[in-house]
Amino acid sequence: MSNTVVSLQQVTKVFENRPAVNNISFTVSAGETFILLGTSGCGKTTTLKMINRLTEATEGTILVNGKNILEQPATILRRNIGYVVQHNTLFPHYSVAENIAVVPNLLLWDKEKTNARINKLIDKLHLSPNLLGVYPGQLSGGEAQRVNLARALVADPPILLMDEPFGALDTITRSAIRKEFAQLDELKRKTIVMVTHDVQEAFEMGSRICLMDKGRIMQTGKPAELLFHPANDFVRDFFSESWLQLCFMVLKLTDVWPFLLNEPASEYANYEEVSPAITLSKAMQLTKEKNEKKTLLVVNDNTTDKKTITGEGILYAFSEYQRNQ
Amino acid sequence: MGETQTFWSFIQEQAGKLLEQTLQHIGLTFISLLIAILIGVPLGILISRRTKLAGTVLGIAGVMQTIPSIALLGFMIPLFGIGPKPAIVALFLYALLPIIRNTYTGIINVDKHIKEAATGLGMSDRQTLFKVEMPLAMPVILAGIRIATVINVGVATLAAYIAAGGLGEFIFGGISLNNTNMILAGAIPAALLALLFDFLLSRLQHTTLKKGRVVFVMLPLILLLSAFYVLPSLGASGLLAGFTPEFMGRQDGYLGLKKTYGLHMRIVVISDAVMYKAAQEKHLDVISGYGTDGRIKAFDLVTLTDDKKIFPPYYCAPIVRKQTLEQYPELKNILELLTGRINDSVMTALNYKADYLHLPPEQIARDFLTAQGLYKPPRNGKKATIRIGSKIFAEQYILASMYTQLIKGYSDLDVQTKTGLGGTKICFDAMTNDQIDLYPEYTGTGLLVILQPAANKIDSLNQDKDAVYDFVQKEFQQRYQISWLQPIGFNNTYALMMRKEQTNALNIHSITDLVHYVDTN
Ligand SMILES: Nc1ncnc2c1ncn2[C@@H]1O[C@H](COP(=O)(O)OP(=O)(O)O)[C@@H](O)[C@H]1O
Ligand SMILES: [Mg+2]
Repeated sequence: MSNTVVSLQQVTKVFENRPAVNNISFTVSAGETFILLGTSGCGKTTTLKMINRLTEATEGTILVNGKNILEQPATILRRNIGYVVQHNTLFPHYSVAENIAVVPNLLLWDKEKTNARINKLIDKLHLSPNLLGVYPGQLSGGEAQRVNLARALVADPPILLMDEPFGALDTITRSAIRKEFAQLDELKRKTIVMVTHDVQEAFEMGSRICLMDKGRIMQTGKPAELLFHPANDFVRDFFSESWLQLCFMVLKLTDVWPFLLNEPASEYANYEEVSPAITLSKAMQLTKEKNEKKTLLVVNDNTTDKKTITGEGILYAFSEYQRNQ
Repeated sequence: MGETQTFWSFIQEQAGKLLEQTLQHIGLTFISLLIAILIGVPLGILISRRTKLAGTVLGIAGVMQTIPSIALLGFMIPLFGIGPKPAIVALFLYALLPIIRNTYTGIINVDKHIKEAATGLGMSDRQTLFKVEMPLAMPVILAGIRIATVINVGVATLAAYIAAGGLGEFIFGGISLNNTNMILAGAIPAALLALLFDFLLSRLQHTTLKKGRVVFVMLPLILLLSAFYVLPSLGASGLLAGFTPEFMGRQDGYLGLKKTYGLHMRIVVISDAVMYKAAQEKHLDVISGYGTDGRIKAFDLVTLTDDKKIFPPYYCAPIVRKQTLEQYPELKNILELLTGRINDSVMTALNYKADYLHLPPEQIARDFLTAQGLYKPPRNGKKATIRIGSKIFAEQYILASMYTQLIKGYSDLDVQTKTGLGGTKICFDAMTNDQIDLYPEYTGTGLLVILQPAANKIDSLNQDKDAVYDFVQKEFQQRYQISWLQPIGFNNTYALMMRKEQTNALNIHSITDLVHYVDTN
């Protein structure tokens, strides 16, 4: 595969005679958001850190852009891979601007180029330029994590490694920043490997998910594959608690299209036109919005026919879809 | 009020010397500090990188600090001689631990996530060290340097013991001479220096925390302060004398030598603890010793004849609080059992056993008393406890042991010894403050150090053994309610000493010979 960016081949990491990561293999393609998911201590962080050589693998091969990572100096490798972690790791003795400028300075950019890039980036990240002269101690948690991301993105590395990047934030800030990050065009172009233990977050952001347990991979696949074709009982049990909710997050109207019934239009109903690419949970949310009257959605996918559907219709279509898996 | 005035007049009188000593003190402190920083900081960095070495390195540096300062200075003499070199090495060793330890802990304790972020961003180990770890560890490193500075200002007073100068010359001279003004003239500036440097470094530590620039301020500053050290002139040739701080300040010491004999030679100030050894090892040619010191015999030294009689008699006798004698009248006879039994050569031989053969004073005392037929086993009486003091040299320890054994054997009194009181002033003050009941004292010391009569009074006594004894006995009784019992017999007076082989080679046998030799060479 020509567009494979990161590839792990039978990689093992042993700490003090105990394998923290045990013979794992996976590949990440360009532009993917690849999620490492699992309970605390299952080896996610260790896996991530082996990619930029903060931890050296005990056995196995790791390729980045087709090249063995051991074949180049670790410092050069790392300058092309952004790295963001949960903790506030801004340098306390550097101002915000100096923090963001760390990698450009290592790459010997000239001042103007660095400043121009910083100004552009903080604008995208909704950071006030007034903060540039401030020291990290004075930032809020959300601001600090944005600056952290800016520092990782400033040299526009093609790969981004993130280790529970929202883990230290309160729930509100957390989902706000997560949505914001998801919209960021800087991130859309990147190949991202992200660690999380939050199932919701994994399904919301991941294009593929790798579920780990005790250092081993339990299953790697698209979100829907993990839900409908679990490889073993561990995977099934892992998602059982929030299975329905996850299904609705993952499935789109197109996925259940054959099972959606076209309901007759009623004069008293509200109408709303939507795209078939929205998720079931989004569609359910829309039918419930105006609660005194039943809302009908007119689904128009331009190519085929239109359907007028209701909330009950969506639930029915989902159960039919599930029966046919 | 009179005290204050004399203190200021002392300062004014000695301003030149005080300035010189202060500058020497600052210089000593900072030269050694500079070396300690140049070696300690890289060592601290090294062990933060190779943590397996940390235990060993910190252990060794820690052991250095537990060696008592005087002992460490003593160890330095065979290696580096006397003067500034051994003092700087010793101070350097003391400053090393806080600097290594704080550099190490400062770096180790930098948040590991921040270190990892630096590495993750692509910094090399060097860049991580200098851009992230060192700046963040700087407050801790500076705190270590602060501690080392304060330690060094304190320990540098001891440099006076090995002829390296500094404010210790006044402090130890003052203690020996019972001159409070002199002690204060050394101690107050030393304390002020410690406070001043502590304050300045704390300012530095807090003002420039944000940036790593503090290093660029500090190093030149320390270099400048180091330059204050005008090395005591050891360079010139000719005979070199080493005199104790006490001897330097006394009429019957160096002042008398200058006045009566017209002696002018190169002199360094040194502690009597290391003086004999330094003479034996040819770092010094002439020293001011005591007539009965065991090391005279041990190190093959000879005393020069005092042909113009400037050294007064120093007959040794027990002195006792009058109140104690009245309470326990049996003490007088017991203490006077030694009278007439120890002459100069007997005392020298006893001292030799302690200083050179390293026998314990108790054993030397017991052997002697047994040989004299005086020894009786202790009665273990509990009637009361007599507190015996002694100054910090072998002869006093031996005498204190003899008195202890005699009192225990001949009376129902118990004894508690408070040995190692560091000088005449400390011993005497302990007695007037009812901390000890008796200790062996010397007539000359009583006269010149404690009583300090006017010069014409001293002249009228004419260095006469009995006249001096009668005078101190009467005055002590009146002024301090302290009794002088019968002298033991030996005269531990001051004497100038040289190596025997050198006196023969240069044909110097009296002080006049020495003066003549120095003047013509
Ligand atoms: N530096 C290390 N030394 C020893 N054991 C480690 C080290 N780092 C991680 N481990 C162990 O490896 C296992 C996996 O850790 P980690 O990768 O941090 O898990 P996760 O990120 O999934 O919570 C854990 O049991 C952890 O204790
Ligand atoms: Mg982790």
